[in-house]
Amino acid sequence: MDHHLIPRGLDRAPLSRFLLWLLPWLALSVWGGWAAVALFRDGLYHTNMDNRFAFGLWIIFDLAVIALGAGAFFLGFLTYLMRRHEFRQVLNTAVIVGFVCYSGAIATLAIDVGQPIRAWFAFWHANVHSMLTEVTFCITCYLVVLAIEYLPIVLKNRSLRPVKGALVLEANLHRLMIVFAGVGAFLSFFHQGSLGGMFGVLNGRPFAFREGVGIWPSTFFLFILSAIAAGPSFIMLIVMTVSRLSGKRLVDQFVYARLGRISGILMAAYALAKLADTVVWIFVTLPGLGFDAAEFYRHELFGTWVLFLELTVFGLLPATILLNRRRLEDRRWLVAGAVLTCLGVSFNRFVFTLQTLSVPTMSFDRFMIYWPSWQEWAVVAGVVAYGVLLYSFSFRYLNLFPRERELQPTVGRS
Amino acid sequence: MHATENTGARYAMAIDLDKCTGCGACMVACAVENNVAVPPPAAAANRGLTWMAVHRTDNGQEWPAHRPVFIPIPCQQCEHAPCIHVCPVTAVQLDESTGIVGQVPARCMGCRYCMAACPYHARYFNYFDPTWPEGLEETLNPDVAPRMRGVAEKCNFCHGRLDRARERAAAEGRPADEVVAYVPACVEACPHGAITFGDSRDPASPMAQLARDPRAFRLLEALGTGPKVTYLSADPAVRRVGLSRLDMVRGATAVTADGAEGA
Amino acid sequence: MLPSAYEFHWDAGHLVFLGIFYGVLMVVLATLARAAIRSRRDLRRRREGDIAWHEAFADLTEERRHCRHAFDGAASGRVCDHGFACDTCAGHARLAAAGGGDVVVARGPRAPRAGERLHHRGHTWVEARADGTFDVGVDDILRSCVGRPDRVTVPGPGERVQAGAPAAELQRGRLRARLVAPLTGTVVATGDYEGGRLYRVRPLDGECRLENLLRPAEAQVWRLRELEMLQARLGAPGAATALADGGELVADLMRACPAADWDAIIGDLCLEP
Ligand code: SF4
Ligand code: SF4
Repeated sequence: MDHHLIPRGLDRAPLSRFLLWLLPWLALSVWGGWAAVALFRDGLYHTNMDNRFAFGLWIIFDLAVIALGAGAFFLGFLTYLMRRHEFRQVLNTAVIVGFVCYSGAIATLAIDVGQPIRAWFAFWHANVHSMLTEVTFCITCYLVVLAIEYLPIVLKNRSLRPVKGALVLEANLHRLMIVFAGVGAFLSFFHQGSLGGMFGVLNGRPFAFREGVGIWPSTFFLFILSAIAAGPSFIMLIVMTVSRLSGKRLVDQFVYARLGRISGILMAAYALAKLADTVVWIFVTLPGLGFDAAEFYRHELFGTWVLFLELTVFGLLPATILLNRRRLEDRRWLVAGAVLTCLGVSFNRFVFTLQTLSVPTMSFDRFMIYWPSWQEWAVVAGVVAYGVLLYSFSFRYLNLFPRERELQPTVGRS
Repeated sequence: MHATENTGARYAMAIDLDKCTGCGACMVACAVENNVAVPPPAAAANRGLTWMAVHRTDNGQEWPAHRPVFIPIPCQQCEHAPCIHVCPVTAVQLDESTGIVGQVPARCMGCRYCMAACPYHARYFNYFDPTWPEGLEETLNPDVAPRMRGVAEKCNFCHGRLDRARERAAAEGRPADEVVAYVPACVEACPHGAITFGDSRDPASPMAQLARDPRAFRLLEALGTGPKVTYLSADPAVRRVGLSRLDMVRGATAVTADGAEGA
Repeated sequence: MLPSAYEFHWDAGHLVFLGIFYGVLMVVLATLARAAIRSRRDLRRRREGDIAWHEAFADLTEERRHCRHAFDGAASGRVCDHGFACDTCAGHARLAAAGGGDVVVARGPRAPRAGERLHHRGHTWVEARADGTFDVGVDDILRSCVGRPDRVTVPGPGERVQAGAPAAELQRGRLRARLVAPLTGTVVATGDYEGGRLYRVRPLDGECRLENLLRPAEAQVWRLRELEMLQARLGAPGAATALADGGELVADLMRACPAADWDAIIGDLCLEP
């Protein structure tokens, strides 16, 4: 049915099976869309956020996916600017996953703000001292860059090959890709950092506040480090999953190990930096603000285990796994290290968003907790489903893995 | 940013906790004055709007010394407000001529970053379309624009009243940059006279003296936010509520009473 | 965002921040514009054929990109990274010189003799004629695969064909085999598929690049390798044995092995990944 769209020589499931696979995701995205419509129509009272929990599930989700989507810029940077050509094998996936993550995050943000039609104010009335302004500018620009990077992958679709304009534009865009990779790296560097800076500058929230290095708080750098540590791991897990689901080898085995190793090195750097940052925060920052770190970890949900988990299981542990060459060769260890890395970064974003708002500031404040409403879950589920759908279509109709054909056993194919 | 040091007024407020009974008259007066919308009855507890919130705690003593303490918290009009520099759309601004932290509802896009930044939980978000129960809309104040759904709002020391006072001054032919005297609604409404208001830069104002009062303290001063609301209590145990919780538990007595301006 | 916006200040913060923002915007837009302009220029210069060839070549698997010197034994296992443009390849110059260096060109003493065939790896060949024109045809492997095409599209007289660019097309059912031109020149006549010839070309002096085509000795080795490949791809033992020992090719392989992934095979044969 759709053979003329599937890249030559790639073995894809029959159309009926593909449609069946899409079905649940379509249902989820309809659910999310339904919730989004209700939220736009009625306002944010459909959420469980309140005056204390000004940020909720959506911000945690946005921060996590943007960190996980860092693979797009980081691998682009490594491939085009550092000439690590082995990553070309996963670059298309990185671009699409990045596009999904950023467009999904922006869509979620559009629902999250109370006055979405004023979103352009962030440009027009930009407050250049706000970290959120930096984030807004950078992620919007970067989404454009990602769309441009996505374009040639789409233009290479088989049905577009005979279109002269598409062919020539694709070739020319491809030749200039190094510029976009460079711009993407620049933009991403700043907004990954500013997302951390968003919390680090909150001098009214000692739990989040951090000492500055130049004009940026330390979280600026920690967020960059953790994002580029998680990016390659996340891409690796995605490719592994797709490979599993489609029953095909998509990239050379060694690429996984390389991705894991990069994650490992950065994770180690991150874990150490985080440790140092925590020490400074506990012994210098907090006493200066009249607070004591122990205060933040005295509450039901957020005990000291939070800190412990972040530093060890989600920090040093994946670093040690992924730095060990023998473990990198072992698929189970590799996956474990990558999963811990991705979980750790997401958990870090969760802690910064939620614990910051949960813990009391004033002496007579209460510790509070929040649980998202179904509408909030629905939006998140919808965005995830949108990502799966977009990737599924891309995987079926676009040639994402340059080595896929060569890696398939030739004999016995039909 | 552009004004030179010490020009213009620094309106400030002092709230005597020894006089406050927690009656809530200030909250009501504030809501009426500033057209604060009434959330639907089914709204969750922490979703309502109130520019002045009376918190309840106690002096931390055992009976018979035990007594409740009520702490009315309006926006503290921080001189170094954490909520200003975070706003991406410049919807929060410090008015150099008054020291009031202004909120521009028509520009706010409702990202709520400022709410996460404020340590005093003094900001509120319009989760609902603004509504008033049948008949109550008759009481709306024509001097203050109600806020739309999806934006943040907070106390602005009754800016509507300040504007009125300025208009009167102008009508009387006084110079435009002269500091005018006015009283916010809560000050007027407090049956016990617990709230004082004035220009702390004016040596003749009661605020100038109150700042040096040994009973004075401010909330979370160590954060460096420079709040312009001073609290007063003769009881050292009560004065400790201004500290962070742990300092309070430790029984620290670092309550300071100097410098009405946190600068 | 603009100095005209309410409450814009000419201060360092705004200048640095907005300067960087507009800088990035300019770079992105300028690069996009550059891509668009170059594309327009390429289209106007009719470079799409060239581009299609280079893109296709870059996407070929390694086994499809063997260097011609892997066939004449001078460099076994060598993989071409030149788009089969041997005339621009330093390695070819060296290896050809070592091996006797008989380079073919369109005219003059080193031109192919009338009746001599040179092969393009897209399974087309050119045959020199006495009057200096060349016939272009489809080789037996591709003919056997496609069997009887439903439709044959060839360039008409007067059209220009360019080495490497798609010039003709065979269609069978849903399958399309795109045939790249083996040399550059102007079409002077069309042939007929049944007779084995597609069209006749008068080469463009200095541009027809005959030296990039496989000479008979190389083509022989290459042909065997292609048969091997085909055998592996067909997987059907019956058809395969016939192929491996150079036996007669079935007239209509597509009918003989309907289960094979013909789309992929044709793509491989015609160098269109
Ligand atoms: S009390 Fe809160 S809202 Fe008021 S100025 Fe300070 S930080 Fe801003
Ligand atoms: S909620 Fe409004 S005022 Fe607060 S930071 Fe966002 S845009 Fe600014």
